[in-house]
Amino acid sequence: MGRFIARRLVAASIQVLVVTLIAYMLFYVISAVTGASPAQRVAGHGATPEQVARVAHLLGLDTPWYSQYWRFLVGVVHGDFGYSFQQRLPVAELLLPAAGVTASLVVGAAILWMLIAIPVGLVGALRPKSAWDRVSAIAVQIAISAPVFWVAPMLAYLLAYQPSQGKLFGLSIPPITFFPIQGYVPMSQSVSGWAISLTLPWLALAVGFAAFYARFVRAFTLEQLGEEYVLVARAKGASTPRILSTHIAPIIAPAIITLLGLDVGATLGGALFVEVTFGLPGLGYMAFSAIQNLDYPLTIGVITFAALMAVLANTVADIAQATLDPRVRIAGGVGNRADGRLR
Amino acid sequence: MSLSFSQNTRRRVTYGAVIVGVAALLAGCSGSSPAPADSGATTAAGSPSASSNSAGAAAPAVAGGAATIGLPAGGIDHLEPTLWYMATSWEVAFATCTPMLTFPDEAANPGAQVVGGIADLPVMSDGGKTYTFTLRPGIKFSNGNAITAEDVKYTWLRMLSPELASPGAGFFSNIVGASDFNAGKAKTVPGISTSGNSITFKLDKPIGSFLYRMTMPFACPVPTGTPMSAVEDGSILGSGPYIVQSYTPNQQMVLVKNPYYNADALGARGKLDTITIQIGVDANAAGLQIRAGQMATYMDRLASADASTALQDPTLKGQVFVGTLPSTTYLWLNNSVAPFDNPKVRQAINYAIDRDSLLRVWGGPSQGSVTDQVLPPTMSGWQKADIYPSKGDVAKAKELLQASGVTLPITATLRVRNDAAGYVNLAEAVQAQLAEVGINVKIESAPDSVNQGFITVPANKIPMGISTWTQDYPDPDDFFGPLLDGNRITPTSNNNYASFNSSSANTQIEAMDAVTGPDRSTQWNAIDQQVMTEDAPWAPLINPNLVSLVAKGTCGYVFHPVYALDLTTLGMCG
Amino acid sequence: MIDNLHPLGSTRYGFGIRPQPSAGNPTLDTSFHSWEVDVDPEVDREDDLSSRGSARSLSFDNQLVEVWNARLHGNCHGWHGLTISASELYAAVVEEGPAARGAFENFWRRFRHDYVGLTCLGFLALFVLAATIGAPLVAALTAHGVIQQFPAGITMDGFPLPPWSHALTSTDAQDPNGPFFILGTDRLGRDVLVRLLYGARISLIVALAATGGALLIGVPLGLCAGYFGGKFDTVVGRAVEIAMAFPSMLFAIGLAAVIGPGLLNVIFVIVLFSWYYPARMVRSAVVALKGEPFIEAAVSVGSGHRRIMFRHLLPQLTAPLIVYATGIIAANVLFEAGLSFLGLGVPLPTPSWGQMLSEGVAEGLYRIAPWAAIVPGIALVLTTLALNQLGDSLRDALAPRGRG
Repeated sequence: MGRFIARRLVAASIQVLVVTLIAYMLFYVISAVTGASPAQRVAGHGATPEQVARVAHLLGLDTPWYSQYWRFLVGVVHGDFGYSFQQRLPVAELLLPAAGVTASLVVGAAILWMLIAIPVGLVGALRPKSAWDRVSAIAVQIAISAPVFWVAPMLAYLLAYQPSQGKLFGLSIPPITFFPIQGYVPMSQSVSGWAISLTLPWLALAVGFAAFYARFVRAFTLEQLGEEYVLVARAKGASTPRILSTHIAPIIAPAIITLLGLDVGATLGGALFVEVTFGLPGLGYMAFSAIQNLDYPLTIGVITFAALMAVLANTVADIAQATLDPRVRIAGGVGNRADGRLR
Repeated sequence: MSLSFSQNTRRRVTYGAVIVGVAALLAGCSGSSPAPADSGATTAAGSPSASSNSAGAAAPAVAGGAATIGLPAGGIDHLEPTLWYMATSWEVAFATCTPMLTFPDEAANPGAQVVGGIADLPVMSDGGKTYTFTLRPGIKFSNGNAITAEDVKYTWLRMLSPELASPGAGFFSNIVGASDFNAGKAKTVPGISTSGNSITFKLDKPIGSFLYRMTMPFACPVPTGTPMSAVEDGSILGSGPYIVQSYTPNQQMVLVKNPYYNADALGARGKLDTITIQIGVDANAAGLQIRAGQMATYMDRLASADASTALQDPTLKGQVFVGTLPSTTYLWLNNSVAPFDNPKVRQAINYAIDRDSLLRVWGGPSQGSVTDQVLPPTMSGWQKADIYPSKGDVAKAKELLQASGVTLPITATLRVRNDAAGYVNLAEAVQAQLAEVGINVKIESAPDSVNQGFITVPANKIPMGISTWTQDYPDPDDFFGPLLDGNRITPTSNNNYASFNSSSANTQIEAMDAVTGPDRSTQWNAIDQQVMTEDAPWAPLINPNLVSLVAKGTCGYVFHPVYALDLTTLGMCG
Repeated sequence: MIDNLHPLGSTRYGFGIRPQPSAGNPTLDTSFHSWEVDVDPEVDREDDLSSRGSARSLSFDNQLVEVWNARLHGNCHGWHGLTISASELYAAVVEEGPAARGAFENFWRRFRHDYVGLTCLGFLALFVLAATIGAPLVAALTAHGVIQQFPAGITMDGFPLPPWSHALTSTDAQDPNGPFFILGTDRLGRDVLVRLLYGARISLIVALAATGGALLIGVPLGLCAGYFGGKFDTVVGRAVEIAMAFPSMLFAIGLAAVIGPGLLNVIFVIVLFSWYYPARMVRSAVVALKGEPFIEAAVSVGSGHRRIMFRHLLPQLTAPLIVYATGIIAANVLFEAGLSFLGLGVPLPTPSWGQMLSEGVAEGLYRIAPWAAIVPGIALVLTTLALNQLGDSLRDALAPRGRG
């Protein structure tokens, strides 16, 4: 087991390194191909070419990309992720609070979507083809199909703004300003404020995932319910809840953990649309503006962090599954995803 | 692009500051002088709903209180004053810094008159090549230490130093020795000298706009001994009515009153006790937040839907303000690329474009006014010229194209940024209009940073593009110099996207450095109209407006002539 | 009691019953009676058995089969108070196993009863029709071009026109003689309906091309990785994991900043971020199939690798791949919408649903012109809904899961 974990961790670190290398290459290719110059952006429009060249020197941009990458690697070993071109602050200092915001968003949303998905999926599996099942299937399909950049502003508008003007889905209510339309309240400032400011973002992010997981739980449970061992258990007089918890849960848990690991890991890289719509200063928003501003150190910092999270989550899921299912340890692989997922 | 993040990336590209006219409208003094006040008033009056909602001057605020103000992500680019170069940063700078010269906290400021900051208005001598400033007495840093002339000189050296690479250095290359110092070739700047509490600047030639340049916050006074590298931790001392109490990058900045601000010497400024600037507020929902009372106001352009509805909403009377920005949004044509090297073709394009339709696409008369001149209406002495009919004249355009001898159809690429609202729509509208006269435009859009990488390199020979230029200081040479002086074309970082290089125009433009006084505005406006009529290097399109919304209970909103939002006048209503 | 169970067709079985006389019925005819029953053990539950032919009153209830009809095949009449256990019958059928039948026939038999699936298929056919023929047709009928901007199609303040309205006069009133817009206009005064139909083309092209590209790359890689195993598998596995570790949206933004908007560029970016899904899926399927007897048989007969992969493995994968593909197409339609939303989609002014949606959400346009966001949004939702549902139905029809 220890060997397995060690092997996975080594593989994980190599993966992150490769990702950063490719990211570095990509962004320096951007400069070469398009002539986009971060130095010029920093120096401003009023700068002469000499001043731009000086800024380029200051930022270390006049060395070839592989030496810049090497400097970056050396820095990472010391915990130094470089300095943001635009803000001239250490990247690590900028990343950490943003990571906290994104983590609050994603973990909270994950809890929410599992809380929705499991009951919905289970009920659908226990009463297949019933009215509930059909209705929830349609609801689930719609939820998967609605793009998050559409859902998020609608939520903000309908549930945060309209109530403040005395309207709620067309009904008149006394004006109440409860959810902030945008903005993030750090947990250190107020726990309740933090939760309230994140409620709508959690909802927006959870909708699509909840639908996917509900579908998955339903299909998986349904399949398991048809298996022989369930018949046997029923024949022995086990009640449905007991069957679910004792027999099916241990089988479905590893699969869900794997999927959850992949999704949470990927989204920890920044749930871009939700963050921008709700003005949450998370990793996605930061990386997005960093790319627009050609702030390479910051972008690479976020990408590295995101890759790290994704790979770590993957590894943890692998380890969890290996713990639960010894076959995996030997085969060394993880299950596959049945649907292409949009992140 | 929908994500209107980065509305306000670099100062040059989006809104920047100012409006004058509406304030005049508000105060009911739409004078008959050809001052910018008039043209601004005409602009706002064009849309009846605008005037009905913004009529009535903003009531002055009472002292005290706290407010939250929204700012788009990336709106504060630095905490190091010499590096501040965004319109939104300059709004903060206007509250936390007092430069040598500055502007009063008034909406109405015809011709944008300069007043003293930490120094009185200088004495000019030596044919306009020497300026001697005397510092006002009793001015202090935010730690109580006095601001001395030595400190000011140190500030200038720091700003011009190669280590800091401040964007401001480019505006002061005419100070004797500044260029060498900035290039690292000299250890000091002989052109700046102190004597007691006065400081003297020697220039190598007269610069007509020098006083205006001294108002920019690049040279915010800092104490001698401040490190010669960017200080981004907020520890830099301030000199304005507010100081930065705390700054969480990308999240929040809190300003509080500066206890050592000398109101006697510098004038009473600042009403609110605490200003919390919430960073990362997206323009799409900013209007909603203000209406819901979650925010006092927003430091950038609102989503145009919110702006337009706010103007027409009677419940928001007295909370909406409109004014013209000191910017020009223009379609530039590359004068070094055929067929745009032919002036008849360029004039034809000016006739082909239906500016009134473009204004509709941009958001209507409340969002801006059409223009066919280089300078915005906020410039002193500006007059509407109607060189080209605002509705366009397709017949005349076709006639000119034929006379030019160019073979149609013409195919050209148009480069535009796609990360700020409205530009792509403008590009599409222009595309449709030019198609009618046989010019097929292919739109290439990219985020601003990438776009700039293309258009600032003349060797790329980009045929056309839509860009916006916003003033750094309210003088026409800030437009003509970088944008239309052929002698200032550089192989990279070039701002003369049109590669316009007419020796007669160059001579005229450069000769204006020596002109001062009221002649300056008259002559500049004449140059403007002449260049647009004869050479037409561009097709200027729109002078954008800024529509601002203020929450109920917030008073004292002033459209500042140079900085748009004046944080020091905002406050709670009585 | 059930004798001689034999398949008579794709789901029809014949069987015989030789009743046992009992004390209560000593005169029971004990000759062999043959019946036919229609049952597909892969779909039907025990209580779904249905009878056919002359045995129309052969009825089944939950547990017992009651046989009580006069006419039986070959033999006579009389009421037979005979019961056999349905589960016994069912078990016998299951044990007999499904008759060999054509795969498509199988599939079709199941699919044609799935009304939801059929509706989705119909909807998608309609979508393709609308995109290919409908778009130019409507454009011709309304005489509105897809990129044609009507200056009178927006108000003085730049607000679009609502559905079912005319263009405006100079005083912003509706002009009954002006052009008519069924679904209203967008920010630039263009006809939304025409753009919606032409946008369907882009969504269609991009989704199909991108999915095709992803499959073209992913399937062979997965096949080889699963089949050959070893080093190749490890390398591919690592590549997949690395690719999955990239934050796709951020990279897409970065890439698009380099290569700019464009149809091919969009397809390229989407393929780049979706090839690994089919690769993974195919690989694990192949790994699972490798142990199957028919593969062993092929190997022992001496079939070459290519033969095994293409003639034996690939056909087995077709079914799940088709299902998977519908899921990927749906996801890619949304991905393209997301990219357009970020300004990285097809070049202007070509419409795409993502672009229309982004224009509707941008700058709060939906607050004054809700149809600008609702119309393309509904189109997107319906299409992906149909695709996903079709995938579900296809999966049920091709390789039904378990019992119920």
